[in-house]
Order: sequence, then structure tokens, then C-alpha cells
Amino acid sequence: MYRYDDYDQTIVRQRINDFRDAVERRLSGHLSEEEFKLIRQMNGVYLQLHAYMLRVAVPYGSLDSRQMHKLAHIARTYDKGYGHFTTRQNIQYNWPALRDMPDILEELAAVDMHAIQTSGNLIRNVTADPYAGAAAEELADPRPYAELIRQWSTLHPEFSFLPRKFKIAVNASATDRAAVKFHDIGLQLKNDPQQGRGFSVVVGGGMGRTPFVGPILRDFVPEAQILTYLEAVLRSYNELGRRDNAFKARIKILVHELGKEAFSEMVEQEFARLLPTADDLPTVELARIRSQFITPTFDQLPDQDADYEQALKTDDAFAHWVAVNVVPHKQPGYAIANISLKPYGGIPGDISADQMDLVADLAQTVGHDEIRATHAQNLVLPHVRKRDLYTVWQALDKAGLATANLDRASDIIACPGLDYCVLANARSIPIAQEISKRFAAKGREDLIGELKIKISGCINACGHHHAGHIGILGVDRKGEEMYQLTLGGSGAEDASIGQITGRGFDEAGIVDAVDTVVDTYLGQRKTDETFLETYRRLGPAPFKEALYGTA
Amino acid sequence: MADLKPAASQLISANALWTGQAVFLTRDGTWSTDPAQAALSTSAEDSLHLLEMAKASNARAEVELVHLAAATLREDGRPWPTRNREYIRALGPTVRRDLGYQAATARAD
Repeated sequence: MYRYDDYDQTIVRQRINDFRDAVERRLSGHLSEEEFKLIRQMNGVYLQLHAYMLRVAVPYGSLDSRQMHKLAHIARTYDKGYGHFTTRQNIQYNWPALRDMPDILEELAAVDMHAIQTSGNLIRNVTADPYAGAAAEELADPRPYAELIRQWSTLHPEFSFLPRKFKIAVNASATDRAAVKFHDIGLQLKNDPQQGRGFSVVVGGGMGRTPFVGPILRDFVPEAQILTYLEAVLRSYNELGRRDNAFKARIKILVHELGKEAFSEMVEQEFARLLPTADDLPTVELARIRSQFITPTFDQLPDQDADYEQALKTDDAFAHWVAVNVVPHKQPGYAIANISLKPYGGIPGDISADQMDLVADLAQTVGHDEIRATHAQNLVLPHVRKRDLYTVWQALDKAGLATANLDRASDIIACPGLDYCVLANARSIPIAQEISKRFAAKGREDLIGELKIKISGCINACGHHHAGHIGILGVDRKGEEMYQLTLGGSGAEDASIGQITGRGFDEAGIVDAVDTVVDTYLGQRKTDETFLETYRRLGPAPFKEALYGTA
Repeated sequence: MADLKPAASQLISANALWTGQAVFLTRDGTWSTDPAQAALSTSAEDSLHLLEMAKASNARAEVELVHLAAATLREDGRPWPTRNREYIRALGPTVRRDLGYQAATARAD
């Protein structure tokens, strides 16, 4: 884990002191609502339907046990006993009082956490592959790069007032678990035979009102020049990005309207101008950061463990959880254990303080003290010895955290929607709950296999519906909640944007519609074909026919 | 939130500055967490008058996000917001009945 140095600590402490002062001035009436709004948002504090919401940054989704215990403590002390993991690897609290915010930020700072870069038109918290440092197929741990970008972008004077928010993701495996093609900038680590390690750089992807799968702006940027290239992209965007219309202000619109070639030319010119004077700080700094992401001292183990194999044979529920939620680790004898925050009929991403403490305890005792948050609103214990998996599962099961549904129909991404969010037009969570219950009752998730359902309560698409194999968008039709259905999206390396099937459905109808789509898939699929493969082979026609008839 | 134009049959809502809790303006210019206690405007002029009171409260740093909300009279003669958003604001999350205003009351609706 990266530990803050004095410089990081000083920045965070100064921010808290400034914010404490601003809160006091607002409470005493010396700051107006408008003046204060900008300041609170810069510190991760939003005002939602029922209360303030505090969004805490979890850089690249990486946490250790003391941080998770602290999140539990905050949930208990300042909130209503729970937190909500978001679709950007962060955590949100739904009920803190404004007067407590500075104290909460103090508590967070004590464990190297903060809420900087979780709001505003700046470079937001950098996201990364949640299996970083553990995935069997990764080229290198992407987190040192993500941390380097975090440090570079934190309170960056030139990029603190961009036309709109800006999201960067880093992935280092062939499998894209960071949705790089849907980010303002997506970095995919690669090795070049001549130039060594570097990045393929995707620019101008995004969801929201106008979704785009981002084009690759440059196929290779050497590792040592990556910050300079990012600077060239950001500088070009900062100069040309629209500031007159918030809906057209993201870099995706600029790249689309200007054209990839013209934008690329502009970036290349700036890149060439910057390079001669760019110092080699990133290399030196990257080495320092990398030294802090010490790979855990893994035990040298045989890949098979007799007790583990025995438990798999004797406990079907455990074996099922392993088959669905556990994935291979790069170290023999180890595994990556996914903790689903999607109990059947539950609220996606919600976790109680007690559950947080349990996850922290497991990480500390049998998980090399590492925890990850995923953009699918689940948690991961990235380094678990196979021989400890049964103990881990038993503890998770007792705490209601052992749902075996990773990437299955009930592993639904859902934004908070109109149950909490001031921007939402319709509720998302109840739809997720009903779909989850439906699939649980039918007991056919194993038969269906991989199926990613994603639900957003408004066009801002925090629920990533455009990238759902099955996507659902909540809209308000004359005061009634209605739901549009999209099919065929993907947020992975084969990224695509889902296509709208046709007219929308009401609250009950959308659950039936999802069922109909899945029935159609099961009826039409070839052996071992996933939902997405079947959809791509057949196109939308049979699904539309099943949903709306041929008339 | 889309801003409504002042009209009859509206109430004024906001969020309490300290807690963020949804509150509703009563006829005497105080705020209540119970929408049934809210003043229901009788005309556009009345809505404007209530809105002025609410804005003064905002200037005194008591509330944030002052806005108009469409409402109607329930069978018991009390006002109640009609739109989903305001209804959920008034009660609390529909997916957590144990939280929000709904949790603190034994309200039958």
C-alpha cells in the first residue's frame, strides 16, 4: 500500500482546516449557499434528497484493514451504520450532518484517506483493475502508475477548473476490468519490443447523455513520458473544451466534433513542445512509489492444497462459491476472492459497519492486509491462500457476504437513483432488487452464466447502463417512472454501447422484460455461448420480437 | 430539480442546513419535517409570498435548496407532495423504510 509522506499529509490537513473554516462560516451565515456549494463539493460533500452525502476517495480501489476499520467506524459514529460502494471504486455515506464533516475528514486523514477529487470539474479519483498485483495475466501492477497520476493531478493548478469532470483509468491485463474505453482517458499498459513498457492511450470515451467508446489516440506512449502526454491531452482539452454547455463539455464531445485526427495532431504538437523540457521526474518518482507497493511476501506453496480440495468435495455451497467468485492468482497456492455486495434482493454496493469490520479482519489475518473495491460495487480480497479460502468463506457466509454471483444476473450494478440522488429521474435500486429476487427464485443463474445487468436512474449513467449486457435507464414520463431497455453493451476489452430495444416499460414490466430477454437468449444460444455472444450473433431482432411481438 | 413557476397548490421545501434533512415551510414561516404541516399555497401570489419567507430563511443560513413543490390535499385535509421526488424526499428511501422521516413516525401511508 502507498503510505502518505509528509507532503501528502500536509496537503490533506490544510484542506481540512480550510474546509472546517468554510463550514463554520456557512453555519454562521458568513458564506452564502452558492459560495459554500463550490467549497463543499471540492471536499466531496453533496446535498442529496434526504441528507448530505460524503463521497470518500478510494484511490484505484485499494484499501488496507486499518482504512476499512476506519470506514466502519465512520459509518457507526457519523452515519446510520452503513456505507455504499460506488461504481467508481469509492465509498459514499448517505446521512452525515454538515457540522460533522470536518471531523469525518480528520478521521479519514488519520488513515491516509480524503475526499479530494471526488467532485468538481477536475481530474477525479483514478481508477484501476481491482485485481492489480494479483491477476495471473497482468503485465505489471497498474497501481504505481495510478498513484503517480493521482499525485500529479491532485490540486493541479492548471487542471483544477476544466470544462467538465475528467476520469482516468489504468489497466494492465489483457482483460479490461477498469473499463478504459469508457473513460476520458483510458491507459492500457503494454510492452513494445523496441521501446519497452508504455501505454496505449484511449481518449474521449464516456457514458452519460452521449456515450462513446473511446478511440485510441496514440498506440504507444513510453512509460517515462506518460505524464507529459497526459499533460498535452489535458492542455488541449482545457483550451478547446466547451464551457458554454455542460452537456457538451466532456472531452468525448471535443474529440468527436473535432475528429480524432485533428485532436491528435493538436496533442502531438503540444507533446512535442513539452518533451524537450520535460524532466525525468516521473521515472524517479515512479521508482519511489513503486517501492511502496511492495508485493506481499507470498508463501512458497504448492498450487494444490489437500485440505482445500477436501472442503471443495464435502461442502457444495463452498465449492459453488469458489467456482463463481474465486479467480486464479499469479502466485501458486493463492487465489483472488471476490466478496459480493449483491445479496439476493439486497441493495447493490451497500455494506454495514459490522461487515466492513469483518472484511478488514479477514484481510488482516489471511489476506496480506489488502482489500479492493471494484467498479461493479463489490469487494475483493486479492491475496488469499487456497488453504485459507474455506475459513474465509465460512466467515463471509455467516455475515451474509458469501453470495456466489460474480458477473451473474443478480450481480447488478445500480446507481442510488431516486431513492437518494437529487439528479435521478427514477429509482434504480428497487428494480435491481426485483430482478435479483426473480433470478434467485428461478435458480438458473448457473445456467445463464455471465450476464451483466446495469441500471441508471438518469441519463448521467452512474449505473453504467450503456455498458450493460442488459442496460436499464430510468426516466420520468409525466410523473411516472419508466424504464428503457438496452441490449448488447460491454464495458470490457470488447467495449460496445447497448442499443435501445424500443418503447420503455413500467416498474413491473421491466422485470418481466429482462426475464423475456433472458428466456430468448436461453432458447437461441449455441453451446457455451454467453448472452453477449448470442446477442452479437443474432442482433436485436429476436429479442425485440419477444418483447414487443412482430406487429 | 426543475424549477416550478409559482402557482396555486404548492408547498415550499428545502433542506435543513445542518443536517440536510428535507423540511417544509409552515404558514408561520418556520420549517417542519412533516409535509402535512406545510402551508399549501392558495394562489401564485401566495406561493411567491411563501417563497420570499423561505429565501429569507436561506439568507439566515437555516436552509439550502429552497424550491417549490406541487402538492395536493389528502383525504385528511393535510397537504402532501404529488411528485415522486418530493414524496421520496418527504418520507425517506423507499428501499430503507427504517431510515428517514418515515422511520421516525408511525405514519400509515
